[in-house]
Amino acid sequence: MTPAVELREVAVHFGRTVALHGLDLSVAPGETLALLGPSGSGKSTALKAVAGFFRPTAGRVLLGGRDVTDLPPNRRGLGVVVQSYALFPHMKVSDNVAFGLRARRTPRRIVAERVAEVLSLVGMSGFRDRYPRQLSGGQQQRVAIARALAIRPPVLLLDEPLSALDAALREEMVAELLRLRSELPDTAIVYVTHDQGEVLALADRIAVMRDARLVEVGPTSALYHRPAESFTASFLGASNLLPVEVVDAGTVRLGELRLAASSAGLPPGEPVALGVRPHRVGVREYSGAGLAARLVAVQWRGTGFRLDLELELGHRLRAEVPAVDGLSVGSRVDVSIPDACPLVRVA
Amino acid sequence: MRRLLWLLPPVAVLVVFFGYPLALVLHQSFVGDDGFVGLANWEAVLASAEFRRALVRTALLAVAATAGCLVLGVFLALVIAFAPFPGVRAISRLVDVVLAFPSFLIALAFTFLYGSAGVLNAALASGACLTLLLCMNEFGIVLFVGAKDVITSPMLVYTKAIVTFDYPAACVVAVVNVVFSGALYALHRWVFAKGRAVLLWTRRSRAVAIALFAVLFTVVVVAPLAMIVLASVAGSWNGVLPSNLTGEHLASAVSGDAVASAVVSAQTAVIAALTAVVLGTWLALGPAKAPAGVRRVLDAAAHLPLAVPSVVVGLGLLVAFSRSPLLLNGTRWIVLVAHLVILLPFTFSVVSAAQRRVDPLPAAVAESLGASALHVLWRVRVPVLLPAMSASASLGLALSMGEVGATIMLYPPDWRTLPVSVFALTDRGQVFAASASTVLLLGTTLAGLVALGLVRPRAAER
Repeated sequence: MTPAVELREVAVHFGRTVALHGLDLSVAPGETLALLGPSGSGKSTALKAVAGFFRPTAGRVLLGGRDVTDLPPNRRGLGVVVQSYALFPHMKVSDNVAFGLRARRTPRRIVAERVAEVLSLVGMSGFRDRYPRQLSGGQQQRVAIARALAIRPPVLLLDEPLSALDAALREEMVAELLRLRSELPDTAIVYVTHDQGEVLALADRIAVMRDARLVEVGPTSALYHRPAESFTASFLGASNLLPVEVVDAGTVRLGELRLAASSAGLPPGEPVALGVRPHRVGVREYSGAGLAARLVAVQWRGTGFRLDLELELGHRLRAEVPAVDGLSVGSRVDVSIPDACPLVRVA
Repeated sequence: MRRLLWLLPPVAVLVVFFGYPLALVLHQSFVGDDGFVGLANWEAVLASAEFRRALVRTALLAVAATAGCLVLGVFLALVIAFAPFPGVRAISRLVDVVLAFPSFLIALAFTFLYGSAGVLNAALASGACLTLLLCMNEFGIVLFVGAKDVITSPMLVYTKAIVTFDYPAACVVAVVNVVFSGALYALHRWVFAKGRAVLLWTRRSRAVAIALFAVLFTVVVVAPLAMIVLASVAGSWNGVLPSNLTGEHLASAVSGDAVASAVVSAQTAVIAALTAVVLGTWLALGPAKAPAGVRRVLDAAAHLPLAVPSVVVGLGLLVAFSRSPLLLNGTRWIVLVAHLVILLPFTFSVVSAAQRRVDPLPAAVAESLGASALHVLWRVRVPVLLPAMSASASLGLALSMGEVGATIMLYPPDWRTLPVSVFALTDRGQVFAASASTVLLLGTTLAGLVALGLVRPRAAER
């Protein structure tokens, strides 16, 4: 199948600054690919190169198999939603949504129908005569999505669309996006974010980026459960990274503790770490049965507790536990780590 | 390169009506009555004590005016910004109106206020107050207070070109003035760009700030305006306050010649301000995607007329357009062009400052939705700038209504603006009639500003 979006060795330089190193990526029709990474990782740059907001220094951008590298944004036929929504402040909601259709000289009757249709899709039918400044952040975000969808784009580019919203509204909008997603089965979505929660909920595949480079790309579940890179493990799921020695193909050693972990696929001799999710770390009063550690800090998180621990082996570790009965800051504790945690390459 | 091509029209206006005349002024400074004479004009002018005195005086006035403006202007602006109070918008509008005040009438107002028979004679020397208002390129004030005693370089340009018809010498002085102003302007830009301007705002009580504001505002803005209004109804003024109050001056100001001049002023201001807003916006929007170097050059070029005294603008236009192929001298067009050249840097400055603050993403998103660059310009970029364009139109209108430096060198008999008429009256000693005409001028300007003010919030709301 021809990819809806394809980047071939796309690089972007601003003077001497490299904003994006040669990036290879493709997105299938109907697929949602998330570009995940911290600020400055190059994810928004990649998206803007696809949108045509600037021309790549090197490489090619293809949409539906057609090379659009040299085409201006208005000839790419994409829907774009940006972090600030970029609604036109002097236009009413309906005019904002109709903008793309009118720019394409769509007949008035069809414009009216389509505007009503997409406003209904995003639940904003009652707001068509309002100006953007009369809307909340979440409502503006819906209008921005409606505006992008109005032109029936084969590809929707979403650049941190929820980052300006508060936590509660963000969760609500994730649910809305999921619903939208199911109603647009043929639309490819490129979703840029630094929020792993949004990514896990929305993306079919994730491309993890760091320092203007692609670190790793793969299906969401696989990347979460079996990351190959330490950066992916720590950024996606906040894994603890514990340096270990490979004993054999199925065993590693952490201090005196032997753990089952598959080192298949890892180059021999390369430094590796065990990626341990905080919720998989066990903590109990010291009895000498596990790895000895000292409890450094306790944070109550509502549904449980976050513990900062210092292993006597010399590493720091974070754990998330439902209760802290009998544990206090400064006390000595036993830490247990389950088998089958992923082994990752240390960058 | 193609992106820059569409900037040709406003750039051509700058080149033809500002660059070319200035170049001719430079050329003329090397030419005598009987042809090319090399540096002879320069040697003669630079050797004259009169010129050196003018230059030193101009520099001193500029320094003093800058210091005065820093103290007064910054304080007034900070109070308006950080300690707003009811009526602050009306006060801001009043400050706008002062721009329409022909500058030489500020001298008249201050003479009534602080002069030998003045209201506040005691402590404040009128010279000190005048100094605060004089700036390097100021012409009108100096013209009124007397060319004999306070010759500055813009005044010298006027005297040499219009009084003694010594064009080459006028050109030499004009070139020196431009270089001098240009250097100061470059220094200002450098300081601005490097962020060396340091603004300190010590926390004072709101009441003290507003009280001090009221005193300064009264002294600098309200009092001169009040003096002009009082003078317009004065039968005579021999003491602290006028006597024999009469409505005669105002009655004759709203009939006959003064009204004709007011109509000319209004037409000139509207045409020049609107054209300047269009060209200024054009220049501000044009280089958005151009390389930084091109943007800097265009920015400097568009601001350049700001550094040139209006009297030099007038001289340049006289030199350039008093002959074929474009004979404008003696027509109303030369006045309109002069006003346009004078207003353009102001309108450009206001719109480009707003343009720099505009989020570029809506335009980018509009383009991604399939809109052509022209469609995005017309439907997204320009509407967002409407409030700034409206503000720049107000500024242009007020400045044009009060412009006298270039106009007095260029106006044809059938296109006499109100400030020129006011100056003619004051020159003949009819200061009360002049004051009445000034009230008419201020009234006309205020009406224009109020009309634009009504448009502005609507533009911002859209």
